[in-house]
Amino acid sequence: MILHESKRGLSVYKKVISLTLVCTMLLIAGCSSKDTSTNTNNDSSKSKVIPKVYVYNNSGAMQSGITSNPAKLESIKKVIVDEIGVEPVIIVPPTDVDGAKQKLNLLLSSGEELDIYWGDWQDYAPKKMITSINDLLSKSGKDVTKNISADFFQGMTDKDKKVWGIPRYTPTVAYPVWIREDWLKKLNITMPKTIDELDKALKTIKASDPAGSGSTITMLADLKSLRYCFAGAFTEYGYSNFKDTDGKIKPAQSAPGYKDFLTKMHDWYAQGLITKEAFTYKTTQNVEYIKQNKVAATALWYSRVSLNHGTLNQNFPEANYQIASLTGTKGKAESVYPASNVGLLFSANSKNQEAAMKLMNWYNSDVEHYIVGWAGVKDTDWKYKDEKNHIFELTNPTSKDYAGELNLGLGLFNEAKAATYDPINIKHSNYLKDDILKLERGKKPFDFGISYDMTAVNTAVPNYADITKMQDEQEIKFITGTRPLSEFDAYLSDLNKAGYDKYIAEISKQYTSLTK
Amino acid sequence: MEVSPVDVKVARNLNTNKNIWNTAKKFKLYYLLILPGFIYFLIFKYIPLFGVIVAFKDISPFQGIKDILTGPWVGLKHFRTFFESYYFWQILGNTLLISLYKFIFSFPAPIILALLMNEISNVKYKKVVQTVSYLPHFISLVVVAGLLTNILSTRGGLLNVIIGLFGAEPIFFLGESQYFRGVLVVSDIWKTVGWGTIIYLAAITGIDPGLYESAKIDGAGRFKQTLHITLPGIASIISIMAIMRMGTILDAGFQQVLTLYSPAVYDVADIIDTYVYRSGIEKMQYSFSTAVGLFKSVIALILVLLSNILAKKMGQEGIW
Repeated sequence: MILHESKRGLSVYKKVISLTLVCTMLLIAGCSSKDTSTNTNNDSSKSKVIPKVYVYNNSGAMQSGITSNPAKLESIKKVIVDEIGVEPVIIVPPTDVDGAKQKLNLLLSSGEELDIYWGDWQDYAPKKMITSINDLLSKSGKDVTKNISADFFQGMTDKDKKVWGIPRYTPTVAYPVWIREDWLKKLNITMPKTIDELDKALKTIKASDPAGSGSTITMLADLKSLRYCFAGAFTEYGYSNFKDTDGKIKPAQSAPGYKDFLTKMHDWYAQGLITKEAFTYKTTQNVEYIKQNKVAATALWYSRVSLNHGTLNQNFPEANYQIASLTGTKGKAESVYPASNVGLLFSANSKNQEAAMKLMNWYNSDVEHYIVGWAGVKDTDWKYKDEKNHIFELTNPTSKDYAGELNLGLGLFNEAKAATYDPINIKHSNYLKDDILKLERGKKPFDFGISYDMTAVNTAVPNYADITKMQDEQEIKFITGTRPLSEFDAYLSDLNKAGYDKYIAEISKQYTSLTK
Repeated sequence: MEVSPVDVKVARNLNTNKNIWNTAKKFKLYYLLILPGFIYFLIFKYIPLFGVIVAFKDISPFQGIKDILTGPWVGLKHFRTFFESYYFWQILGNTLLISLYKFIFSFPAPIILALLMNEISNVKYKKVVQTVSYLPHFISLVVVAGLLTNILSTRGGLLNVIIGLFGAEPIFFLGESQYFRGVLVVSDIWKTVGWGTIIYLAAITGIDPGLYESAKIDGAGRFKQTLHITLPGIASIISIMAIMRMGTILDAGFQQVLTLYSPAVYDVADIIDTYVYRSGIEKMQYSFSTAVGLFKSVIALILVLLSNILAKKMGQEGIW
């Protein structure tokens, strides 16, 4: 019996040991890191190694949330591989801006393979997360420098003349006020030219409810867009820094007339002319309302309308948004959106920086290459209508096979050169070709062309985020009426407590040294 | 022969060590069974504690372990930045208030529901109620935020349509400070109440049925039985759950707030985690984020210790 018991005990012992070993191995397997792919292809010949360039396409081109048919994507990739022997591998971001940023931060911190991505160089350069591309440009990026003018590079260059990425934005008029011209015609109203005329037009639209059943949204907006669309009507330089009488450079909040701007926005909000939930809507919600034929006017980033106009027209062919160029007591209402520090950045850990620059060089060597990235394979997915002027049409405009993952040549230096007659995208193309660089439509910032060193700002004002938070929070309260406008001076005083005066001192110092 | 106290102590220690070793040898299979769990906690909970030094350094996430080990020490710089923030007291206040409201309303809700469920005699009906009450737990917070945005919308949202039937103006629940915290608490209760009943129902089933019978004989009704038998029977579980809740009091529901808030309600909704998310994570200021996280952990530890002491003083069970 003792022998039987000990045999049974031994059997249990073996089972427990096996179970423990299995559990430990599973645990270790679960903890093992992902296999990062190598940069060689699997071609059995192994004589030709095609470098892979890992691109996180957080340019905003993929906000629709769909991805391409894999076969279609491969066919477009093949064009690039055949021409320059470089294979782009696209990492698709989440659709929302916050999610996309979070994923990028995770990719960067986890050491995943990543060569190029879009971002603000001032966020990454001080942390040595990106490399300057002066050498890369002269070695492998000659077409990039040929295609993109020095103006564009301004925002990506530091005071030591180091270029930190391929630029995306030049100064633009990117915040037009779009109004439904067809609804204005129905109501016998001409396109408004002044803030007062806009005021009357919006009130008439609200009263008549053209969308029906009380579903008309008179004006969709968000805080940043209201600033860029309308502040110019009330302040000398629009939504921009300015030089005050004491010689200091101050933000727009301190400008004479800024309170009047907020007062007008508050009036519009109180009368229901700006939709009540404007400051809580996400981009996707705004776009949905536009596509549903409910919105009379928008004070938003231009592409909310231009990119969705075609889809709106599929169901509502009569819908026609046009731009209202407005003026106010202080002149043009719109403010020119300055060149930003956002561009295509080259990761410091990239193993294929030269291949990445070769890829971007390809996009900039010919407008046709940009069109391939945007629309697909030539003569299969699109063909020229006017080759000389790079006007093309899609073979199948309603196809959703290609979602734009390889649309990497983004930037007005390319976007303004090509256009499509495709009904879905024609509004967007025409805006890029004809309107977006017409800076005379808006007011230029006082410190146009000056790029402030934000690292120095963050050192001088460690809680700089508190200032921007207060500006957003309190101005929304003024507009919605939660805080009375009589407390505007108290608001400026609160800003000082948050470090506003230190911020002013720092940018004044930088402005003086940069304009010597 | 006299034995010195030192010898006694040494002998006792040797004896204790021998006892521990003998115990380990005797129950080696059980220790082997818990070994994977132990390794898991060691690797994922204890070793990462080393990363706390990030709070006292200025590191770049890009440089990885190397920067953590060799990066420059900055002492309490990040803590000072946090404490000197203009919004420090506001966000601390918001965090504590939202947590307190959830504790006052959200914590008792599953207890009350469990007590009510315990009174259901029809088994099928009870199962239906349990299933329906558990379901919201499985809905992602992002989906819940989308549902709430639609239901509470001033443009045809269900709740505002009902309000409109009474002749009142639509209320912008998600954009007005006086309603926002209420939305957080109510949606939190809806989402968690069902799942929270599980542990209390399990505790209730452990109460001796004889006590109920005796109480019935003594003439106690259902309410008195609940008051004098059921509640005291699960008091120890309530006390343990309350202490554990204290450990998370500074969390206040980051994901829930992040998906629902906007600048219009920052003054009542911006909590420590959302502030750190915007100022720290988005700007890749990981040292700053770690410093704030460490601050939260220290406060949580102090609260858990105090709650445990208080629970024991009140005659209830503590966690240790």
